[in-house]
Amino acid sequence: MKKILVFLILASCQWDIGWVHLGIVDCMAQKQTSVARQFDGSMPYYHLLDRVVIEGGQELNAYKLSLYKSVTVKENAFTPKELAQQAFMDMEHDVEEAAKEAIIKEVGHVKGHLYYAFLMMRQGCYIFYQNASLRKGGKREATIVYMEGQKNSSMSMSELKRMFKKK
Amino acid sequence: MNKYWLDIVNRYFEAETTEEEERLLKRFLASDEAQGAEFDEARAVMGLFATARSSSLSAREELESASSRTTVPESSALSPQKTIKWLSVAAAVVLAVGLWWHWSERPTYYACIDGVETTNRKEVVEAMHRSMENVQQDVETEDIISKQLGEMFNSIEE
Repeated sequence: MKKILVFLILASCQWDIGWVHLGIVDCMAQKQTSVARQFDGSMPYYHLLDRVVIEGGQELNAYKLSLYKSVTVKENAFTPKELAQQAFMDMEHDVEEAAKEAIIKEVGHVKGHLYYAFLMMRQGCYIFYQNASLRKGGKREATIVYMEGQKNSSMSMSELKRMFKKK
Repeated sequence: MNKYWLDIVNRYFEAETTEEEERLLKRFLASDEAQGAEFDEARAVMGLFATARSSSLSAREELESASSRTTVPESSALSPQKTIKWLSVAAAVVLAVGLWWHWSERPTYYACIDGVETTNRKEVVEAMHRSMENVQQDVETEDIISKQLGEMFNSIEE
């Protein structure tokens, strides 16, 4: 009995320390999306990605979001070219797969490659993607953004896009 | 007088005498007054019982003294020290659960940019805005949409 109680105490402390991992933060997700592997640290180029996680907080209230996660692959002098290329290909593939399951989607292709995607997987779950390297003069980088809306929020994808749109 | 004592003896054999009467009878049988043959049988029986009684009494006394020396089994109730120990463990568990609950409700801010990790709220929010800009639908993207739509209608017309 004593050992079980000690174990429970230690486990609760370990959970408290180990929460900062992209793969377990999206507690609202009911189903894994195709892009989940880009966020869970399983990809070999994961350590090269720029990563952002915000859960809760006032900054997301303006967008009626509860969770914001993004990963960006950048091809530069510091990233091994092969890994960066693999990241570009994998991200495009994962977003294409997610688009097949999206209930609302808007995608654009350039030269046979996915240039951008705005996907609503289910009410309150969104994936945005853009591969800037396909744009003329664009940076050699691609970004996937995964977002979850607040509970009882009925924001549409077009509303969210308007919030993101450049002014 | 003898008749009185004979009556007592008869009642003794009938197991109708009280302890006091038995005591008095024994005293009488041990005295010079009870030297007659009519009291021999009683004297013999009481002597035997006296020996048996004394030995059983001593055995009972020994048993009682022995049982008073045996240790009393431990009470099943927790001692105060154990109670305090378990209460402190329970308090630690409640504290741990409370801390976990408190931390799980707090906003999370995390960013890793160019290999540098940060949980600074301002820095993470800035990083969020930069990543938002990466996926914003810009003028060029709208041109692509128009171009693709145009290509679609052109192909239909053809």
